[in-house]
Amino acid sequence: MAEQENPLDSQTPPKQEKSDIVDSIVSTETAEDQKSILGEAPEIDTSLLQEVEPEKSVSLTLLKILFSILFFSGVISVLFFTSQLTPRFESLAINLGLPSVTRELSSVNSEVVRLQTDINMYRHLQVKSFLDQFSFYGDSFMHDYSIADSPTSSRTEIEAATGRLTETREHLAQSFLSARELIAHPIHVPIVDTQYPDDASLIALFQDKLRERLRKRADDLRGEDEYESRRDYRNYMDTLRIVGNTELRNLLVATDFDDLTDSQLYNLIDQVNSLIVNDMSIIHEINKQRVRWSDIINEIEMRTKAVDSYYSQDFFDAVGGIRYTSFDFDAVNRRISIIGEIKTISTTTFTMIANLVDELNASEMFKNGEVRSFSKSGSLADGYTGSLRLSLDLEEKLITTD
Amino acid sequence: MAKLAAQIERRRQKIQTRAYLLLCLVLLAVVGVYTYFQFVEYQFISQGVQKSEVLAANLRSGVGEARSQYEENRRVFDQLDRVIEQNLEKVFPTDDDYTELTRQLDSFEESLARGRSPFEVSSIEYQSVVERDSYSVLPFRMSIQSSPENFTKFLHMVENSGVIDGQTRLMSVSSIRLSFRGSPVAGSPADIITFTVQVNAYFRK
Repeated sequence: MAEQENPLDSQTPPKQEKSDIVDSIVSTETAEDQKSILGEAPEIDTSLLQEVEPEKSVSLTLLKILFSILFFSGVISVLFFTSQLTPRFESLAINLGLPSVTRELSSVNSEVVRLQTDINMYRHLQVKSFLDQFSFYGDSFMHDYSIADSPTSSRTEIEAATGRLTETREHLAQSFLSARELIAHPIHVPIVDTQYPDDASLIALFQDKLRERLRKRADDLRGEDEYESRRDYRNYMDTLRIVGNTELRNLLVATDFDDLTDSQLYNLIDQVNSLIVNDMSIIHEINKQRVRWSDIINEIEMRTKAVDSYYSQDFFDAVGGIRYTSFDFDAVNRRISIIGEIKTISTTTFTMIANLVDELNASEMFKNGEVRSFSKSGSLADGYTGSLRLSLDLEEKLITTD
Repeated sequence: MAKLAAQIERRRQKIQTRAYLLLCLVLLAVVGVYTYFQFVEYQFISQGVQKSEVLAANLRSGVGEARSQYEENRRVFDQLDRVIEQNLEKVFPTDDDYTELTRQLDSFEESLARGRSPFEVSSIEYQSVVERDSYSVLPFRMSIQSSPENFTKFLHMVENSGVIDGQTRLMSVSSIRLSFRGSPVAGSPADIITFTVQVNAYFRK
């Protein structure tokens, strides 16, 4: 059978050569023994498809979009939290009127500190004034206590002083308890700030703020001549010394006032005065250093009578004994010099002197009493007279309490 | 050649897909963790702001109470302050005020000399002021002739001086030199005591 003509070939001029392209696009093979109307089906040369660009990957596109979204979200997140949680962009945020939690927190914390400092100031000023009251009545109490406790006070004086002690005690209780109630309040309140992680740092902060406030108020009044201004200036300066005075606070809080004896109350007043500074505490300090010479002289008298039972009864010339002619008291060096004379009927003049030295040294008021030189003159008929030169020191504490 | 380029392109797309996938995962983790922790802190601070605002509102009323309590007590404090100041002017004045002190000593001498027992101040000699940390001292020396009884009264006067509600200038005796016969104690039959006493009178700086 003759080879059939490819209908596609009829449109083209007879080829001198075989076309590879045509052959590659269309080629038909038929079995030698079959007949087809259409002829061989064209073959698709897929190798050509490989020269066409591949389609864009959908997943890649989606991933790119997702990446962009995530990146943009990250930038927004960083900008937002940086503006809210750090001081960066603060001026920009303020200019744009944008809120910031950090700025709000800082602002409200400042107000909390200011308000609490106001409260602390009013409380401490009152504590200071109540302690002034306590010192004022304490001064009277200590004075009356000393009179009641002194061996040289008259009975009238002792009775009057004892009566005043009871009345003064009530005033002392009122002022002490009022001061205690105020000072027991904590000086700090909790604030949300990483700079102050614990109570100790908060307490230090509020103490500093209070001192700053009091100094400022005092500075505003410095140099003023008016009585009220000078008084207020002194109040602010004295109150400064109470701020952070842990020892004072502990003393006030820990003391059970109602259970105090007079002697214990005396000591309490002494302690409080040593912890605060006002005009009365200064007077108190001076009083503490003061020596009650009348009590000293009385003690010498009592000790001398223990050695010479006729002392100060004007029997010296008749029966002998001890007679003093001069005393020299020195509070600065806390030393006493005594000059006198000893007269005895028997020869035991030196024994009387020695007994006197021992008796004076046995006193709680004196120490280091000594006589290093003994001399006498006379006779058995007329008796013996010896000079007495005695020196002794005062003990440190001359007022004894329970 | 074209075939090769296409193959390269497909391979490139595969690599890019994997890379972007990895980047997205990493970025998601980083942004997620960052946002979480920052949000926690943000919430903490926001709650802190709310709590602090409540606290500030309470403190505002507390300030009012503290101020009114202070103003109320201040009337009493100011009264006592004036009393203390008036008393201190006599007892612990702001300057040496030696003339007032001289008048006080004279007055005391007069009160004792009225009785039968003698008390005579023959001299008062003021010395230079001594400055201490929180007060000043005016030292002076007195020469006195006295009975033992009045001598004891004089000592009591000085020892009890300086009481805030008293009238006597704060003083202390720094030394006494006395001569007598018998005993210097009140009630003893001694003669006149002659003594020189060094006294410190105190005043505020």
